[in-house]
Amino acid sequence: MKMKNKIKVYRAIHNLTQDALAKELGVTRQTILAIEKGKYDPSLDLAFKISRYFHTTVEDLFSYD
Amino acid sequence: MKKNTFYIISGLFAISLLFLFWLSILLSNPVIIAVSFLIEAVLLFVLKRHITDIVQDERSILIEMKTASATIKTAAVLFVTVNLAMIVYVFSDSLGFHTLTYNRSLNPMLFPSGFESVPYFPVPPEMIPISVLGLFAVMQIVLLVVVLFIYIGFQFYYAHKFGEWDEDEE
Repeated sequence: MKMKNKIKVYRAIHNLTQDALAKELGVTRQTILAIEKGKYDPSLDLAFKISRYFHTTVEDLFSYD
Repeated sequence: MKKNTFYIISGLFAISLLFLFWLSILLSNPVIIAVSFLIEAVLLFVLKRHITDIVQDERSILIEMKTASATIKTAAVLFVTVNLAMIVYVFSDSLGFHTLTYNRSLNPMLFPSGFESVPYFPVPPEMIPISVLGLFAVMQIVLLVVVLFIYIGFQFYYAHKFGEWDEDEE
């Protein structure tokens, strides 16, 4: 089962680049890119950090395909 | 410390290790390479922790962990396989395979005054020839090089799997 996410959508809403989001979260741009493309599933800690940054919930941001 | 400085130091360490390896062989002193390798490994570990311009996050740590795990598993199987085969080859005389081992009466002596003249390793006659024991060293070098390539291969595989070189359309 593959996990999908709405990070790209939320980035667009907040007018953020991958690089800017990565710097805010203390990760690399490649990590944000890999998560968006579904190549890497973030840890629970990072998933919460991302959802808190966008003022949303983990369930809203991440879901199973 | 910048990461490029670290890479230059690593390169210098590698060159110095080659020199020390050669010196060890010339002087027949294994302590030189063993101690210097340990010291350089510790120094590299300490220096790596002082790199300031490298971002290491959970994905890059995962790539490192998976690479290390896969390399260890593969290397263990490879080492056991090759070493078992080498041990059987060397000790085949005791197992009954006489044709593979040294025979004092059929083969010329490796040393002019016989094996008994070797002061550091008293080899019983007609048992284990030193030429065969030398195969161990060659095989160990081959294995170390193979393991290095396996590590690089897995590093590329997992980096690709977790999107290290992906480009975004944005």
